[in-house]
Amino acid sequence: MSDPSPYRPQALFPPERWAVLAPLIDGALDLSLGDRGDYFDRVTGDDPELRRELETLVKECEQNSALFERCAAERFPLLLREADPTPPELLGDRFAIEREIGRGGMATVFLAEDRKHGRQVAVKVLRPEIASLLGAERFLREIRTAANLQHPHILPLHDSGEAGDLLFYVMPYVEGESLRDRLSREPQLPLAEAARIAREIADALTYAHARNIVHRDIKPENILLSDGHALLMDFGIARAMSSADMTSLTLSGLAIGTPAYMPPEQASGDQTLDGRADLYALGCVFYEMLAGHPPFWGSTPQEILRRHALDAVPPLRTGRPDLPVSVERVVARALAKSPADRFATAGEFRAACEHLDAPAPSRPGIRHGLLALTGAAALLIVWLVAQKSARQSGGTPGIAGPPRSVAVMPFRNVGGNQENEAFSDGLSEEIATTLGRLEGFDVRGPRSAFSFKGGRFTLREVGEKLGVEYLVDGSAQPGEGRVRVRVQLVRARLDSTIWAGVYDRPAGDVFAIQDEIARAIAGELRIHLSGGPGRELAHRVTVNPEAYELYLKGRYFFAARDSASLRTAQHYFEAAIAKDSAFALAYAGLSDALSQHSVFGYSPARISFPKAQEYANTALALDSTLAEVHGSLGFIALFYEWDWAKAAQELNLAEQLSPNYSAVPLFRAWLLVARDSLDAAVAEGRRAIALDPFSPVINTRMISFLFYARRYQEALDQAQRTADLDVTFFQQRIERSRVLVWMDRCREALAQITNAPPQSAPVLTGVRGLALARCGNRAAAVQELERMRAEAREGKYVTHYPRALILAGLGEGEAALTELEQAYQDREWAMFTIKNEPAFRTLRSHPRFIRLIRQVGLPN
Amino acid sequence: MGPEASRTEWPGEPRDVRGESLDRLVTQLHDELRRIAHRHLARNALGTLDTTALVHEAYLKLAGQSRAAWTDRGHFLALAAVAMRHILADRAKARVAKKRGSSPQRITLDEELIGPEDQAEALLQLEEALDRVAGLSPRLAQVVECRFFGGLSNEEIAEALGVTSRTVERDWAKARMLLRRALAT
Repeated sequence: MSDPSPYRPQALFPPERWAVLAPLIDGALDLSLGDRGDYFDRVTGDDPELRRELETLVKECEQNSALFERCAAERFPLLLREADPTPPELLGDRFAIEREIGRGGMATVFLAEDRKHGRQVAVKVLRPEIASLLGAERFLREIRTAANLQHPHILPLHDSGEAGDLLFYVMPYVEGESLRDRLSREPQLPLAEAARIAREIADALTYAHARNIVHRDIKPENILLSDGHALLMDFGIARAMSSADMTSLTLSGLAIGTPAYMPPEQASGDQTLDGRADLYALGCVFYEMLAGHPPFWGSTPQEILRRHALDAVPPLRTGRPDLPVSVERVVARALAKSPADRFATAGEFRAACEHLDAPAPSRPGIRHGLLALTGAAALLIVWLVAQKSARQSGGTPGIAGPPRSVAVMPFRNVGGNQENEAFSDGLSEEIATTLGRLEGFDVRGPRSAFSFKGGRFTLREVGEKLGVEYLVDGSAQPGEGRVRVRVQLVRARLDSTIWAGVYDRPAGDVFAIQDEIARAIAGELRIHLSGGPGRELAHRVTVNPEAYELYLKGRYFFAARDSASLRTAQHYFEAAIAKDSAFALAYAGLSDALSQHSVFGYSPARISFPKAQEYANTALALDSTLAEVHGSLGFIALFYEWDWAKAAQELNLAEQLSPNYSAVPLFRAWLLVARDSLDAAVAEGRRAIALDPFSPVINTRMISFLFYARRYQEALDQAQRTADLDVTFFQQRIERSRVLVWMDRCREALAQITNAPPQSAPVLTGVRGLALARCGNRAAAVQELERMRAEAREGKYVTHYPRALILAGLGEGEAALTELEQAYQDREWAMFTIKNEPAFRTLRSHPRFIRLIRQVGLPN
Repeated sequence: MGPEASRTEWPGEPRDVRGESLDRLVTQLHDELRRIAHRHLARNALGTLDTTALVHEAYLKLAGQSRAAWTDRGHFLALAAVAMRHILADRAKARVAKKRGSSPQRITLDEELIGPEDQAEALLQLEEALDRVAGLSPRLAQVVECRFFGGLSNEEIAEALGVTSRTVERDWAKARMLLRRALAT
């Protein structure tokens, strides 16, 4: 406990004395005040001193003190406060802190003097929370491995230690800035410089890897640029972090490592990391130095990690056509998903980074400026467009053939005033300017076309007079705080409209609106005017960034699946639609939210699903090329319409449109359950997991598929894996409980679902009632049933299927069948699982059951 | 879930629980409690902390891990109390070490302790007093640890120590009396 005191205080009582006193005190404390007098008389006899002492002590025992009324943490709160971040003036008796020179998420850096050697050093003090998470022993051990690294491109470690609660390590003080600082000033570096930095870091890694030391946290913040050279620092820290308990680190809300630079194998928790993980991270840094942003981005760490694992690398030359093709090749290899496909050693990477400067003929492509919207959404959109085009055409899209001549007419001002006139004129000019920045267009600006304002000439005449093949014509119509812009692309000679679009925007910053629409239209024109068979870009991305963010939030809440979250998701989707009425994805999201709301038993199928269908159809009309829309339609076909053929069709279409869309194999697995192909369902489930390994929903459904396939032990293993992923996602406990019931592990089955959060789905009641019935607690099972009935009488929506489960568990077949028939009438989705539900096994041959099978359309 | 092993053994003695040494368990606990304390404080700017909540959260967290080797909740809670005491004592020592020269003031129990230095001093004096109580009766010190440092209820302490609640009540009364005396001398 505490250190031995330097002096020996007087003992409270001699031990023998206490041995006598203690039981006497106990006796007295057990008596009421009135009885104590006699007691004292009895036990102290004729020893008045003992009696006096005893009386005093007992009285003292019954006193209370403020000190003990509250617990220690409340009495000494300041001791529990975060340790003073300013370290003592003299750390470890050797380093005299002078001033703070930097502060990061994990540590603070101080300039200090090393008294022992009389030189300036940089002392990095870990933030106390991190220090306590890592543990001093582990930290110091890991960091010592880095102490022996001596290389021109590695910042050496002088010393490390602890001072009280603080953990620190010491490096030489080097004048310079981090690569992060540099990139903040200049997001895209010249190729020669980026290549040099990459080579130097690769050198450092060659040295470290040869000594079996993997850095694990390479990022611009850890690269120091000094005197024209790059230095890698913070070896050992990341190792210490990664060997710490990841769950508590993330629970504490501390960001460990940056997902932007994390290789797929590190993200999936693979413990056998080797130097190739460092090379991947270095590849990401190299990419960022050239592109101005890391290769994979997203709004949550999970999303970014997913992209690392699944998405192709966005081509660098999209944003920087001047880069040679060899650079793309180096980056592609460095960022290969599987370590086996990357450079085997840092040395190979370094060699590949030599002689990159040779210029190659540049190809026309999307200029960076065109789609440079602000914020993360912008990056996402750049990425999206590049992705789709890369997938579809297998390379950078361009416009074949000679430049197309286009003139932009001054847009008509519909029903507006002078202000609107200025807007519509400005809009046409913007469009012309933006188009002019694209390669492949020969644009005649509106100035030349203004002489044709007023509609005296047909478009064909204008086309002839200006000598252009195509015309952009349009109008701007102001409304209630909104403005509607109509555009059309016309082939002048034939006076035929190739394409038309409508944009509805809130009237706000006029220039922003002009900007946005101009870019969107230019994008459209590129698609429609590019030569070759049909469109090169199969998918146009015209998304309002704000709307997209709202949509992403909607998806986030959607993932939780409980009633409140689904409602929140619905609000976000609706908000997204309010910002962008043509946002097909948001309609699909809304459709899904409604579908799930019914599937989880919160609302009747006959009410929610038709609405979901409407929204899905709206989405379809807006954009039939979205996989998500077909996914939604497929879901409704399967879970509500029970139209297996249509469901299969929609799912296949969704898959063609987007081969990596994980909802497809997931829904298809359900379809296979309905068709009694249970092992195939399990296989589809595995495909879904492969596409989206971190999804709690997909992992939980996998438990169900294994359950229906009667592969119970595997189902339990899957349940454990799901729990490890996200222990807060309650649904997996319900599924696990179902499996345990049929393995006759009753106590465990009930234990899984006893502490359910209050918003658990109604599904839970059925599973719990069934478990109680099967475990012999009939009374409690009946109680569950009664509770459901009472709620139904009060007007709350209560599904019938769970009631059927409980009744079947109680052995009341006829009553169970009545509930199932009602469930069929209400089109409860679970009806398509009745053939594979173990609880109904005994009813299989009952004529009413057979009739239900026929009615639902299940195979015989 | 009743106590399995003999309850006269105590954290002071190395005791093997499912093959893990007790030192390791306490270290693990210590780390966990500190983490949780920081998290609470991060959320709770004024810094008042309910020990009981803290300890229970640590229990839930560690009990959930398959690595945990707790025989039962009572055992865990008692260890948590010890760890809590460690944390506070460490902090107090660090603070007092920084201040040099001034002579320590004896704390009076009923005062509000305002400054961090006061609190550090007070805790160290309390530690010393508690050691003296332990010298006289180890179980009384354990009760103080559980109750004051761990924030455990009488029932939880009874479970941890393998005695009745009534015994815990009496022990707490005696322990308070002894501590007061120890602090006054």
